[in-house]
Order: sequence, then structure tokens, then C-alpha cells
Amino acid sequence: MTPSNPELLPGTLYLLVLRSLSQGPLHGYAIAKRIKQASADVLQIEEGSLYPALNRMLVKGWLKAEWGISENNRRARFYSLTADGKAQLEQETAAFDRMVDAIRLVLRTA
Amino acid sequence: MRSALEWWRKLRHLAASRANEREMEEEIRFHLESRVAELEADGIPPREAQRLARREFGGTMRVREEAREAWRLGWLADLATDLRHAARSFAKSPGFVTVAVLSLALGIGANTAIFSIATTFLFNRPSARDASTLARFRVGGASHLPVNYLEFLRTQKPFEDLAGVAEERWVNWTHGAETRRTSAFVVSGNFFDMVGVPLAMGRGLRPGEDNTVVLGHFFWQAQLNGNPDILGRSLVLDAKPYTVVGVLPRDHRTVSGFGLSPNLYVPAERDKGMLAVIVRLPQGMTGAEAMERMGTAARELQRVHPGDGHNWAENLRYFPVEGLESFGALGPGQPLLMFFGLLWAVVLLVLLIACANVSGLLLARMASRRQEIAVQLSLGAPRNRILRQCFAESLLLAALGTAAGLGLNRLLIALIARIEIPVPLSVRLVADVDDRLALYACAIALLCSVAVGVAPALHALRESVLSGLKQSERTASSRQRLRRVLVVGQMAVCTVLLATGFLFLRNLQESAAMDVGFDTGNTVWASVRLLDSRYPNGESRAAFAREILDQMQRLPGVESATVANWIPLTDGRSRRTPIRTAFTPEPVSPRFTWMHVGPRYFETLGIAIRQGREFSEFDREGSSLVVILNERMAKHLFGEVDPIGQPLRMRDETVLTVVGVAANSKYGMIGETGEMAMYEPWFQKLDEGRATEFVVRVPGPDGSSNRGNGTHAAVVEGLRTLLLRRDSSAAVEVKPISQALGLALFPSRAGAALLGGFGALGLLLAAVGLGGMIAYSVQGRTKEIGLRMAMGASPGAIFRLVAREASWIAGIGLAVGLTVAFFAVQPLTAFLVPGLAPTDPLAFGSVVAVLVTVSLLATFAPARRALGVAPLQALREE
Repeated sequence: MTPSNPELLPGTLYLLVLRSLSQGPLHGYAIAKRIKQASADVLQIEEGSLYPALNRMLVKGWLKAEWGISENNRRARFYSLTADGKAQLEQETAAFDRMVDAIRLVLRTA
Repeated sequence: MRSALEWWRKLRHLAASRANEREMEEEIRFHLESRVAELEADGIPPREAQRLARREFGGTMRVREEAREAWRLGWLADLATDLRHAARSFAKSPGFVTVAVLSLALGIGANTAIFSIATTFLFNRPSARDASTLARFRVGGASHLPVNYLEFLRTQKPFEDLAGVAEERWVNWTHGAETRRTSAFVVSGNFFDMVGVPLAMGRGLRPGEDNTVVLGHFFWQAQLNGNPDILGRSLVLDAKPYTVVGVLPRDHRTVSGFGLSPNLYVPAERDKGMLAVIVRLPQGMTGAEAMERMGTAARELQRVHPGDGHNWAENLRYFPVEGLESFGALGPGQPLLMFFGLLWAVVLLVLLIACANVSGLLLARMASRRQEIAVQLSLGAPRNRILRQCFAESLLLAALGTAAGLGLNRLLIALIARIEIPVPLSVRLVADVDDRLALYACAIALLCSVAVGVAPALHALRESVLSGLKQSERTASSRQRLRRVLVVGQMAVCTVLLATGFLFLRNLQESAAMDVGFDTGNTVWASVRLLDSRYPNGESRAAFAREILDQMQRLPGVESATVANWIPLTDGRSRRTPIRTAFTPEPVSPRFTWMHVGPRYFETLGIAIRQGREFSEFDREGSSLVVILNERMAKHLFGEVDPIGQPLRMRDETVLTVVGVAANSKYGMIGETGEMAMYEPWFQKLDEGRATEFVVRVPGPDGSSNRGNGTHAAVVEGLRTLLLRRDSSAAVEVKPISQALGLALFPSRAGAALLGGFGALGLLLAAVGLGGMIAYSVQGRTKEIGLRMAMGASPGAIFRLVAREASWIAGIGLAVGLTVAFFAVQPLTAFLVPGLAPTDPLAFGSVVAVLVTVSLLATFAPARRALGVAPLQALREE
């Protein structure tokens, strides 16, 4: 039995990336790992699709990227939140919570 | 804002596109290798680990493509491609590009030139520190206040600071043996500091100074040879030495606007003259608040100085010195604004004709590219891609045309700036390229690219794959139809332009020929500006005038001489005041022209005295007060009653007795009608600054007009010598009155030159359009013409064949244009001399004649080409 693979809600990937970076800068691979762990392997995303999303977030100005040295001493590109990114995270978290609450309410009353 | 930032990031990304690709690759490799290492650490064999890592990651090519997609610039990149494409295709047909760009350049050059002039004259940007917080006030309804009242307002401290400025002033500048009148702004000592006038050299005037002067750039250049060591030198102004302390930059603009350009700035004398109020408002203060503060100061002024007939507490008005609202400050704006509105409408029409030309050329070009377009369509290019290409072409043409047009604008402005404007003020056109012009040019370029591109785009939409490939005649005829519509439109617009142009030419003709009511052929005017310091009161001026008149009358060639305080049609002074007569218990308050004239004035100027007598030497200080009215005023006050001997009771309770009635004539403007006039003796009720303008009568050998036969020159010289010998500190200017009437004829001349010029420009462009269309049509019918000639058609028949199409198009255009023009010219009445109807038959007749002639000429060249067709070759052509 493979675990069910729920479709990502639109914008959820952005939220996940923002959340993973809220503790501090990470490189792409670490972000992918963090997302996998955080969702306890329930959310299966193709790891590759993380990178176009990161680029779109760079364009939006939520993230900034810098080259640095990884834990295994390799050159890696580290992403971190900008002020805009932090604001976006707060906004999206609130919006997401509201939506989840609404869904729960619907499920309970139905 | 947000999206602008995104654009900026994308552009920066674009600048480093190679590096980005490398980084992306490295990042993906790092990801995969990290995953492989992790899997291997979990005990998975290397090959299996690599396979697994790749599967988890997904397609690297797709990932990279999607990442690139995030940075794409969208339509901007497409536009760049389209423009490159258009440029390449233009490079192949330089002739087409030249004609198209020239057409647009002419239209845009004329258009932006009018814009430059209008912004300079109407929407002044004064040379000042933070002009937005400067404002002018009209106190008690008066534009100017006595200097000591201004000082009083200043001590009331309504604002941070308050200064005074007077624009229309003159000083006598003595340079070598010559004394000339030169224009000056008279300002209070704090003016330069408060306004923050930028200087090119030296410093501004300072408070407490009374013998310093700041020079205007053009005066310094033209009169003092741009001497770089001028600071510290002195100029003799009004017979006193003034030290030059500063020179203004070339682009200095006064706080008064209207293109005024004084030669000098001099300090106001203490307790003398009138100044306009200009203030520095605190940052952010509104007009209403400013009015309130100034109102308090004005009421205080009224309380302390109540007794001079003015109510200073009333009619307070506020004008910012910058922007649209400043417009009301100086008054004469209304007709000027209307005239610029008219000019703007006219240059827009010229531009429209130019755009239609380019549009027609693009349509013709599409014919030769029909197959190329059809191929693109058949290969699946979306239709909007074809449209985008059309607009890229018109955008490129419009951009090139605008660039060339701006070059033309500079040329035109330089030419126009040289024209001396004969107004009694010093005015200069300094129209530099500024942000407003740049913005306007961009707007015009966009407008043109749309106007030029619409017809070709419409046509491109109709083009179908099959017809294009088959070379069908259907689209060819649709294209030709569109082009005909364009040319008919051009002809119609051109008719309207020509109608306006001819109307203004007729207006000039009529104004120049108009009877002004006095003799301009046999009179010479000698203007003398006396110094107040030498002639401090009316008596001293009267003594001077009496002596000069006596000497003038003895000059050879002079029949009579007189003096007046101003000369008709070179200036204008009217007043409205209550007058009571024996028949009007309640005073009437007519507006009338008011002059002070000496003995023999009417004889000298050749104005008939209808009743009574004219002034004599005995009408002087001390004798009974007399007055002469013109016929209209006499009729207005007394109707059918004989006015001679009737008393006029004025507001100050003086009583003037009517001794004569003079024929009506023109006073302020050539176009005026029904102006009333009152003349008082120059030698009576003398005020201290009474102006001395002399006129002598120089009859020709047979008593007729003798313009230009040399006698005038001798008299002019004689008068000049006489006046210079008498007082070298007085500024003297002597010329025949006919030459001095430049001011009166200026509006007609400027109107005729500008609108006639634009009419001619429109005609030229429309002729190019018509000629081009007929030439193209002939080219398309080569086979038909060859066939007809082979069948024995005569050259005359071929010519008629070609000319028929041209006549139809010109005819329809003319008919539409005349109908539109008939209504469009109606509001022009305001600019025309009385008696000239806006639908003047002579003007409209000329339009028809010119348009028909030019249409025939434009047809002639293509028709000759048609006659030159060799039948056999034409038939073989396909």
C-alpha cells in the first residue's frame, strides 16, 4: 500500500518553504528534507519542482540567495527570508489557519 | 510598485544569464550528490542510490526550464524581437523609411514647437528656489501697490517674507554718446534672497542697496559683448552710476511668466513707484490659509491708510507663481490661451495628415509582403503575432519620426526665438528641452504609432492564408480601398487647414488695408523718455515740451508738430469713471480711451474735427478745463443734442467743458469697434510723470503719402539730433508712425504666418499622400494600361483614366472638408477684423483653387509614368 498522496493545495509549497526558512538560511536540499520531515512523509512532492518555486519566490522578493559552504564542506546555495518574505509567511500562515479551521468546521457539522 | 521591483530583479537577472545557468546546474548537482551520499550512508549500493535520487528529483531539464520561466520578461522580450525584426526589414527599403520618417518629423516638429512655445509663455516655471511655495497677491483689487504700503504689509509679518516686483518698467541707459530706453524689473531689496534667484555670475541685489544692478544674459551678451569682467563695472542708468553685481543665466525665467525677459534688475527707490506683492509661504500652507493671513494684514493697511480712494481690505486675490492657477495673475491670458488652443488643434491636424501618409505607405508595403504574411499564417503563426509585428513597425517609425521631429523642434525654436515681438514689453522665447517636452513627445510618439498602425493592422486581420498565397485581387482591392479612405480623409483635413490659413491671410490683408482713422503715411513719431530726476514735475515737462515743439515746427519739411501722452495703436489706455452731464442726474460710467493731447494734435494726425475746435496753446494750466470727445462718446453722452459747450462733471467734482467733437478712429487695436474716446489737453491738469510722445506731420510734395521717398529719413534724423542736443540723458526713439504700428498688426501677422504656414505644410503632406496613392494605383494597373494602349487608346484617354481616380478622391475630400470647415471656422470670428466673415468667400474660393491645382500636380507625375508604359512589356510583366 502506498500512502495516499494528497494534491498540494495551491500556494502550499510557498508556505512550506517560507516556514522551513523561518529558523534561518538553508540550501535547497536541506529545504526539501525539512519539508519531507515536517510533513512526516505524507506530502510527496517531486523534489525537483522545489527549484522553480524557489526561483519564483526570488522574483517576488520573498527570498534572497547566497553561495556558502555546506555542512559537508561543499559549495551550496543558501536561501534566507527577506523582510517581505517574513511578512508573507505571517500572512499566509494566518490565511492557512483560517482555511483549515473552516474545513474542520464543515467536516464536523456535516 | 511591487511589479516594478519584480521587473527590476528580472532585468538584473537577465544581465547575468550565463552565470545563472551555471549556478542552476551546480545547485542541482549538489542536490543529487547530497541525496546519493545520504542513501549510500544508509547502505544502498551506489548505482541504486543514484537511480533513486534521480527518480525522486524528477526531470532535470524540465526543472531548469521551469526555473528559467520564472525569470522571463514576457512581452518586453517579444517587443524587442519584433523591433529587431522591423529594423531589419526597414533597412531593406530606405526610401520608404525616409519618406515616412520625414512626414512624421514635419508633423511632430510643428506640434512640439507649438507645445514648447505654449509651455514657455503660459505655464511658466520661474527660476526660483522652491517655486511651489511662492505666491502673488492682488491687494484691494490692484495688481501693484505703492512701495511704502508694501513695506507696511511687510512689517505686519503675514508670512516668512514678502517682496515686491514691478515688471513693465523702463530705464534710460546711457552708453557712450547714446541714451536708450531699456527694460527693467524693479524689485525690493529682499527680492533676490526671498525668491532665491539663481545667478550665472556674481550675486543678487541686497536689501538697502540703491545703485546696484543685475544683468540679464541676453543684454550682457548683445550690448556688453558678454564681457567676463563685467562685475564691479558700472552702467549709467537714469543718469546715475549703478554697479553691476551679478549676471543671470541664459535660461532665467521671471516670476511673472509670459516669456518676459528683462534686460536688467534694479532696486526699487524708497517711497516711489508701485510694486506687485510676492510672498514666500510656509511649507504646506494652503491658498485659503494664505488668504486669511494676508487678509488680516490688508485690513490693517486699510485701517492705517484709509483715505486714498482704495479699499485695501477688499478684493484680495491669491495666485501661485507656478502651474495652471498662476495663469490669472497677469490678466491678458484669455485670448492668448484661445489662440494657443487653436494652434494646437491645427498642428494636431497636420500630424494626422502625416500619420495618414505613413499609414498609406505601410499599406502599400504590405502588398509586397502579402506572401510572406500568408506563409507565416499558414505555418501557424497566431494572428496577434502578425498584429504585433505591424505595431512594432509603426512604433519604430513613430520613434524615429519623433527623434527627427525633436531635431526640427530645436531648429524651429531657434528661428522663432530670433523674431522680435513688437509688444511694449521685453519678451523672449527661451524654450529648452525639459521633462514636459520629453513627456509630450513620448505621448505623441505613442499616439502616432497607434494612428499609423491601425489601418495596416485592420488590413492584416482580413488577410487570409489562401488569398495571400493565391495573390487574389480581393485583398488588393480592400487594401486600395483603405488607402483611398485615408487619402480622402487627408484631403478633407487639409481643406480645413487651408481654410483656416487663408482666413488668417485674408485677415492680415484686411487689417493692413484697414483705415485706422488717422494718417500713418505722413507722420513721424519721436518718443522721449525724460528722467524724473531732471523733470520732477508737470511744469518742468511742460516747459520742455513747449520748447521742443517750437523747435520742431521750424525744422525743414515739418508742417506741424504736437505732443501726446501716448500714440494710438502702439499702446492702449482706457478707463471707466462716472460722468454726469446736464441731462443725466445719475452719473453714467462708460469705458473709454483716455488721452492727453497737445495743440494741433488732430491737424497733425489728420483726424477731422466734426464740430467745435481743437486744442490750442491757450488750453493750458490756469485756463478753463476743456475736453474733446470722439463722435461715439458725444453721441453716447448727449444723443442728438449739440455737445459743444456742455459741461462734464467728473468724479473729483471738476467740470470739463466740451469744446470739440473729433472723428472716430482706432485707439488700442486694429480690430476694435465702437471704442469711445476722450481727449484732454496735454498742457492741462499736468501730473508729475506726464509722458512726452511727439508727432510731426511731414507732407509729401503733393500733400499725399510719400512713404519711403527720403524726406522722412531727413526729418527723422533732424528730430533725433534736435532731441539729443537738448537733453542727452533722455532716451530718444524716432521713427515713422507706419513702422511703429508693428504692435497693432502683430496678432494678424503672427496668425497669418503660423496658420498659413501650417496650412501649407498640411497641403504638402496631403499632396504627397495623394501622389503616392495614385502612383501605386497606376503601378497596379500597368497591365490594364498596356492593354488599353495596345488597343489604340490615345494618351489623352490614358491621362483621363488616371486623373479620374484622383479627381474623385480629391473631390470627395474637398466636399467633406468644406462642409466641416464651414462649421469649424465659426469660432474664429474672435480673431478676425470686423467685417471679415469666418466663411469669407474669397478665402474659401482660394482653398478650392489651391487644392484642385495641387491635386492635379500631384497626379501629373504618376500619369506621365502611365503614358510611358510600353504595351508589350506591360503585358509580358506577369
